[in-house]
Amino acid sequence: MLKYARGEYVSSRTICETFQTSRTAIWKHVQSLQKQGYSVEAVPSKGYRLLEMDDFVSAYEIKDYIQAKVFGKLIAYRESVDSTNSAARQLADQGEPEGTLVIADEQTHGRGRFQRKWYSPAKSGIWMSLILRPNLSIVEAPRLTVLTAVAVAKTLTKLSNQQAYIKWPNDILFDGKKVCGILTEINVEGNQINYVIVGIGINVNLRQDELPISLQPSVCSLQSFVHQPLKRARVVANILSTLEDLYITCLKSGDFTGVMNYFKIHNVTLGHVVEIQSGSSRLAGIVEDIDDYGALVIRTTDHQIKKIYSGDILSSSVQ
Amino acid sequence: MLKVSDIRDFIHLLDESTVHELRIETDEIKLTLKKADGSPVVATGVESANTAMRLTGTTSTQNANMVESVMPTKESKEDDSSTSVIRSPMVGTFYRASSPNSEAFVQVGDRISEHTVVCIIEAMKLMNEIEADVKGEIIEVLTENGHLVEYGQPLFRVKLA
Repeated sequence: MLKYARGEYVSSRTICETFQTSRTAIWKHVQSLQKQGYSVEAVPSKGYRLLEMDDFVSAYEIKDYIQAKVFGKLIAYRESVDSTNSAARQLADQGEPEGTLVIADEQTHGRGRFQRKWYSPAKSGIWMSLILRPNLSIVEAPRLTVLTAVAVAKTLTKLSNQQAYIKWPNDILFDGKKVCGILTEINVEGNQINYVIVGIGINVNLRQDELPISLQPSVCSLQSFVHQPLKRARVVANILSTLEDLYITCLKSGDFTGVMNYFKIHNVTLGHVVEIQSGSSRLAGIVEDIDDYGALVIRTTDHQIKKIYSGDILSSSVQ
Repeated sequence: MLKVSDIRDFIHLLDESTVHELRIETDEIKLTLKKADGSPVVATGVESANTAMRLTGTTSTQNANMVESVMPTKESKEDDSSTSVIRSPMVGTFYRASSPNSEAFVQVGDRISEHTVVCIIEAMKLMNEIEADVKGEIIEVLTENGHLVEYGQPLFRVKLA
């Protein structure tokens, strides 16, 4: 009720009448909300109001903004979790359906590939994982990486009015700095996909000086590219919406062309000279193309054409 | 097990048909037979690490047949029915451990069951923890950490038990 009043005071009498309850009961509830972290202001003779600066990512908050039909239908919110990907895997193993989202204010063991540490302090970003059960062959599964990267890039671009770019394979950048990382984990049964966990980590409001020194040159926060104060719940809902649209469209038609085009057009790796570590191989060359599955097509310094399906770009001729 | 006489039969069959090229693949051997008009038969044998096979092709018609390649796909002398090969379900990079500093998921000699994770195959930051799907003992690691693997490429040999 206070939410819909949008920053205006709501008198206790109105609340009492609406919920058919006593002033004491209302006050108890307000205190409980305040304990949860909501900034409810109580002014005698005026009533209560919810201060608008609050930024929560509970299921309740996100559902306020949700437009997607399936993604986010079930939301598991935790204040703190080891890793949303790990939590989502557990839920998926238990049979939770496609579209289930795990979201946390804080990750104590946030991770990237190979157990690399993903820095996720409390309330500073969006740390979430989505369960997918795609009707795709295992061979096609890596296309979901491209699809997710494009969905996030599109959403962040719209929210900030500045084009977000994609660094291969799926880092999302603003001004050459990483604002979002995506880690996808797949579970297979026989030769069928059982589930795919899409983990999305977006740095929303950590300032440069709040980041660990090692990360400062290469990481940025979403808030610094958006003029109004961001509500993470709204960002989450928008991402789920765009992601669901692309997911349904591509899987229904089997046609990923639109997604691949966006991936290639807003790509900071394509067309540049790179040095890349792929597994145990290191190679250098010019990225001439990106294939239909997102693999890099590199012409190496000794004029061979190589397709790279996984790796870390060590350096790039990006300006 | 494919015998030399079987292969001779195939050559004969090919000879007598209008089929131009015949490819046969079994668990032990990949065989390609191609008709080459005019030239006499040349037999080529391809030696693998463990097994060598030499063939002489014959023809009784004007079409000459050539054994193009004979490639054993088995790399050890184990009997087929008691071993199984775990293969990659996708193109990607093969990793034996969850991180550079971790111990490998499995080593030669380790006992495994259906849900034992044996390796990770990664493509486009999509991590696939490969489960064994069989019960037994790892007897051979068939590819190297950090190498690119193709769809269907053998990863581990397992003695079934």
